[in-house]
Amino acid sequence: MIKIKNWVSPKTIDEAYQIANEKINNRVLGGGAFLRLAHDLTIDTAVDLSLLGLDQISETERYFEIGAMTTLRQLETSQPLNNAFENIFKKSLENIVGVQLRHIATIGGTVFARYGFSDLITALMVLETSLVFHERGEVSLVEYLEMPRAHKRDKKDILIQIRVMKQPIKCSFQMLRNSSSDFAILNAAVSKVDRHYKIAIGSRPGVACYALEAMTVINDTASINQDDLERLKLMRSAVSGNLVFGTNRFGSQSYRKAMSEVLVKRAFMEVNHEN
Amino acid sequence: MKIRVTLNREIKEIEISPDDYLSEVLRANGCKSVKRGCDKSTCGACTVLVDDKPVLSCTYLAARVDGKTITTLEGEQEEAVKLGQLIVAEGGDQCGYCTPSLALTTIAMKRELISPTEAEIVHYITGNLCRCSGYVAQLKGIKKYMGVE
Repeated sequence: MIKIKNWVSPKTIDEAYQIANEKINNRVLGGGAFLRLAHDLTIDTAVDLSLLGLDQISETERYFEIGAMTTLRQLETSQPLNNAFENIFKKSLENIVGVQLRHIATIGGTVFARYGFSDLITALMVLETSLVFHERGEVSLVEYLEMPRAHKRDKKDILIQIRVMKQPIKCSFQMLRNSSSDFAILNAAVSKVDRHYKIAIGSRPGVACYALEAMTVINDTASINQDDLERLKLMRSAVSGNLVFGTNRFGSQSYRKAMSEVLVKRAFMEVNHEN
Repeated sequence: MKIRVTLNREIKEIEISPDDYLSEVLRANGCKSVKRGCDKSTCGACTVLVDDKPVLSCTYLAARVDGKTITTLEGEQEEAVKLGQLIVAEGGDQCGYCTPSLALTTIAMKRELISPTEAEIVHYITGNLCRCSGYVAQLKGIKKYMGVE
């Protein structure tokens, strides 16, 4: 049950930031889809960001700049974005509930909240992604995910933009679901820039993180000279090395651990497949 | 608080509470085609169009639609009849609870997708669950409506 006492739609970020920090129970809303996940929540003033023009995807020479209020559906159907990153946005988003929810949920809401079940965060992890906050400025996505969660009494910052660097990249997103539109039991993404790989695993059920041991194996200069199959064998066994998996109603810890190797193998093969 | 919306081509001012969901507000304003299903963003029975895009009204706060255009099945009668007849002809009418939302999603799909494949159609309507689970007959009717053989 949620209770919202007041509603404001500020015209500037400064105004939004000021109102958000006036009271402890004031809260910034992204798409607002999270409210249905909340059991008991009282918001004094809901700060709606929808009039701030943060729902655009724009390009500079070096980056795609995605406004925090851009919906998942906009990302899924953006041709420039999907062309640049081998459809990783489309692939990571197209199975999230239905098109109706994807028209509501936003990239800012998903990333800011660091949802453990997020498919999108896993995909963003293997791209060069940074976040632009109103107060804190620019931080890398990885750095943000490792930060301790803000305390209720801390200043509330506002995520304005998600910046993804343009670069020649091969990437793949893989996931495992009991049924289409359900939450992922597990997801994985792999990218390759030149000969450097990034491997991220999410929905463990914790938020996505790098499979560091596997990345070390695969990026190790000695193994680069080995053939693909040899590298794959070495890397597969290292996938779950540094990762913590958990059990919930979607899947068990051991199942997730076993399947993480399978998903990474599929992704690895996809990024190395020459068209 | 008061919101001003265009609801089924009619401009309306509606008094709401900031925590009202759009589904509740629309039903209170006579749009009974908007169904309460799961109330958990899952089943799609509450689908309405906001600025021509299908959204889950059980998850969309009514305060967010201020200044926007909302369409429920009451505002799409002509298309609803066409699609409804095709679904009925295939025996896909069943209990009818999910039909208004499925119809609205399909109408939005027809305006958005050009010459979709069957797989694209199925994918687009995945967010509409039917408790009778009679998807095959519904899909046959929808394919005819979309002009897909």
